Amino acid sequence: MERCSPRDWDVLEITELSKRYTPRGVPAIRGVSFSLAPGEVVGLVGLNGAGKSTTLRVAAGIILPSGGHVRVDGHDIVAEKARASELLGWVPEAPVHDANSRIGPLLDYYAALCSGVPASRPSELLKTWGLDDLARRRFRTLSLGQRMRFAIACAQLQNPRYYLLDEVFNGLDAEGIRAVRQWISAQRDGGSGILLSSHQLGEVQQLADRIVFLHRGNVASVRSREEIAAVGTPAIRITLDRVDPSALELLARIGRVSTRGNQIRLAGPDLDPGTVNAALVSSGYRVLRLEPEEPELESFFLDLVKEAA
Amino acid sequence: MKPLLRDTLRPLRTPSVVGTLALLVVVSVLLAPPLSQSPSRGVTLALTTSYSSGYHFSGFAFNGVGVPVAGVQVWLNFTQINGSGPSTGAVHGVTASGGFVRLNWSVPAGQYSVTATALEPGGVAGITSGPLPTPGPNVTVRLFGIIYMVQVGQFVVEPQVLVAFGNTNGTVPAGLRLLYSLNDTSPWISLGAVTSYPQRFSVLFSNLTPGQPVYLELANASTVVETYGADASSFAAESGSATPAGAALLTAVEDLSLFIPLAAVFIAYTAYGRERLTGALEPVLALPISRSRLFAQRFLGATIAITVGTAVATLAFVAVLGYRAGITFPSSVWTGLWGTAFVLALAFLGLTFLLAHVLRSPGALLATGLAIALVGSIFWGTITTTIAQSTGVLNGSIASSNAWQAHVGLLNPISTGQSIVSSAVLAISPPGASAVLPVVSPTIVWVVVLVAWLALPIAGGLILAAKRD
Repeated sequence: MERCSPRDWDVLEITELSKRYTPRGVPAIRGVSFSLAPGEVVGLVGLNGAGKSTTLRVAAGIILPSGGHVRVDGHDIVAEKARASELLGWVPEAPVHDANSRIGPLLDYYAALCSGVPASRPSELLKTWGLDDLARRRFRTLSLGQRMRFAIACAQLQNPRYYLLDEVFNGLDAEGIRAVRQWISAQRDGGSGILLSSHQLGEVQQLADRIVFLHRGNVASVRSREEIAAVGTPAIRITLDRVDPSALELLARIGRVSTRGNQIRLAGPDLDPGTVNAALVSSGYRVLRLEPEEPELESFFLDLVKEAA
Repeated sequence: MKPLLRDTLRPLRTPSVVGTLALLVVVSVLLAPPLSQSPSRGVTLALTTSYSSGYHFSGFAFNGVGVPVAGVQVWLNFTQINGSGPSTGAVHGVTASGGFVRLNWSVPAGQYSVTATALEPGGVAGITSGPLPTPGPNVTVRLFGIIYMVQVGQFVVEPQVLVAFGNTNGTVPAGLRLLYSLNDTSPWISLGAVTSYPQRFSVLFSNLTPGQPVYLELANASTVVETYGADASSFAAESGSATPAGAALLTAVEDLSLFIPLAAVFIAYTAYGRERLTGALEPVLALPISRSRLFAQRFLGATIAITVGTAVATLAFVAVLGYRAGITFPSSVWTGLWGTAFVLALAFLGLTFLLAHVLRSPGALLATGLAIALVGSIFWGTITTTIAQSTGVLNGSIASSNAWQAHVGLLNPISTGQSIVSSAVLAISPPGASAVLPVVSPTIVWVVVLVAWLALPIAGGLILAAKRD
C-alpha cells in the first residue's frame, strides 16, 4: 500500500500536553512537549506511572487531553480526529478487542472503516505476522504474543506515517522480539516516524534516535543517542582469574563496583582502562579481559531519576 | 460496503443481538392471549323486551373489550309456561353494524321462558344464555345494558356504562336523560341526554368496586320512565365482571412492554456498552472515525436492530392473536403497537448508551440498565403509590389514584410506554381509549416521551461521547 511522501514540515507535534483522569486528581501528564518526524524513532522512557501510556493514548486520540495539543502533520487529534487518525497507527500495551470476534473478520471490519485500504491488505498483514492460520480464531483465544502481533497488524492497516508503539515487545518470544525490532527498523527506513515506549531499555537504546525521558508526568529530558553516549557514566567490564574481596576492595577505590560471577563491572566518571589494568596486575591478578562499556541508557535514566528526586 | 453502513449494520451481524431479537419475537408469540381470551370472543348479548301486540326484543352484541359486533347470529327460543299462545316458538336475526338487532314474536301475551343463543361471525363459537324473564304487556320503553370495567392487568382503569335503549318501533324517545346512583342515599347524577339508539355512556366512577350495584334511571323532565338495577342483586353480577378478554390482552401487552426494555438494554449493551467499557472500542477509535460519529453509528445500528425486532415481534403478536381469534386486525392496531414498542425500546436504548458513558464497568452497565427496566416496570406502581400514601397525596379514590399514576408515570418510560401501548390496544375498543391517561394531555405525554425519554438520553450520550473519555 503506497503512502504519500512526507513533506519537510510534516511532523507529529505534541505541545504542552496534559491529562487529568479526574477533575481534582493529580495530572497523569503535564506540559509534555516533543515531536516526532517521519523516518525517526523516538523512545519514550520512564518509570511505572510516569505517563508514557497516557501520552501515547492521548496522541492516538483514544482519550482526550485536558490541555495542550497533538498535531499530526498539522491536523489536531481532537478537532480533526478522522484526518489525523489516518496518519497514525497505535499499538496498545495490552491489546483489547471484541473478545468474541474472529480476528480475520475483525481485521476486515477495521479495514472497512478506513478509506482506501485494499480488500487484500488484512489477509496480507495476517500472513506477515504469522496469523493467517488463526484467522478464524476468536480474539479471546489468542496468546499474549499473538494478540500483540494482531495489534501491530491492525496498526499497519492504513500504512500510517507515524506509529505509536506502547510496550510493543510485551508477551513476545525471542523470535517475536527480533521480528518486531526488524519491523521497526524497516518502517523507519521506509519513512515512518515511530514513537516507542518500552521498559526494555536495551531495545529502546538500540532503536531510538532520540529518547524522551518522562518522570512523574513531566518531560525530564530529551536526548539523542549520541548525547546519552556522551553524558552517560563510563564503565569497564573486567574478567579476572579470580575474584576475591581484595580485588573488589582495590577496584572500589577507583569506582563503583558490581559483580556477576567472575565478571566485574566498574563504573566511574574518570575511568582509565590502562590505570585499572596496571593496578590489578601490580596486585597480582591476571586480567583475562578488560573492555570499555558503552554508557548504558539504564544508568543514565536512573541517574536522571535520582537527579529529579 | 461503505464504512458507515458496515459499522451501522454491525449489531445485526452480532449473534447475541440476533438472538435477543429472536427471543423477543418468541416471547411476543407466547404472550399473545389464547383463543378463549381473545377480545373478539365471549360476545355478550344484552337483551330487553317489551310487549305491544306481540313481544319485541332489542339486542346489542359487543365483545370483550366493548366493541359492538356485527353479524352475530341471534336465536330466541320460546317455551310457553302459561297462556293461550303456541307452546314453543323461535325467531332469528343478525346484528347489524353497531351490534344492534331487533326481533319480534307476534303471539298473544302470556308467560314464556326464553333462551337466547348467539353465534359469532365465522360460526366458530357461540354462547347460550339461560332463560330470560318475560315482560308483562304494555311496556313501551326499557333500557338495557351492562356495566363493566376496562382493566389494564390487575388495575382498574375505568368502569364503563354501556347502555342501549329500545322501544317497540326503534325510535329515540324524546326528552329522556339517563341518571345513575351508587346507592339508595346518594343523589342521582345525570349521565346525559338520550340522543341515539342505541347509545353508549362512559363515566369514570369513583370508588366503584367489582360487585357493587349501580342504579340507573331513565327519566324525562318530570317522570321516571324506567329504573334499572334498583334491586342490587340484579346488577351485581354484571357490574362485577370486568372484561377478561381485554384484561388478558392488555396484561400481555404489559408483559411485552417489560420485555422490550430488557431486550433494548441488552442490545445496547452488546452493540456499544460492553465494547466501550472493556476497551474493545479503542482499536476502532484509533481508526479515522470521530467519537461522536462512532456513537451515532452504533446507536443507529442498534436502532435498526430494535426497529426490525419490535416490528417483527408486534407483527407476530398481532398475527397470532388474530389467527387465534379468527379475525384480521386493522393495520392501525399493529402500527400503533409497533410505534409505541419502538419508542419504548428506543428510550431504553438511549438510556443505556448514555449510561455507557457514565458508568465504569460493563457489569455495572448491564446491572443498572436491567435494574431500571425491572424497577420501572414491576415496582414502579408500588413505590409511587407508597410515596403518595405516605405523603397524603391520594384521597383513596380511583380518580385521584389514576391522576397520581398518570402524572408520576411520566417520570418512567416504561409506565409511559405501557400507557401508550395500552392506548393503542384500547383504541380497538372505544370504551377506555380515552380513559387510560385521564388527567394528562396526550400532547404532554408525547412531549415528555420525545424530550425526556428520547432526545435527552441520545443527546446526552452524544455529548458525553464527544467530550468525555
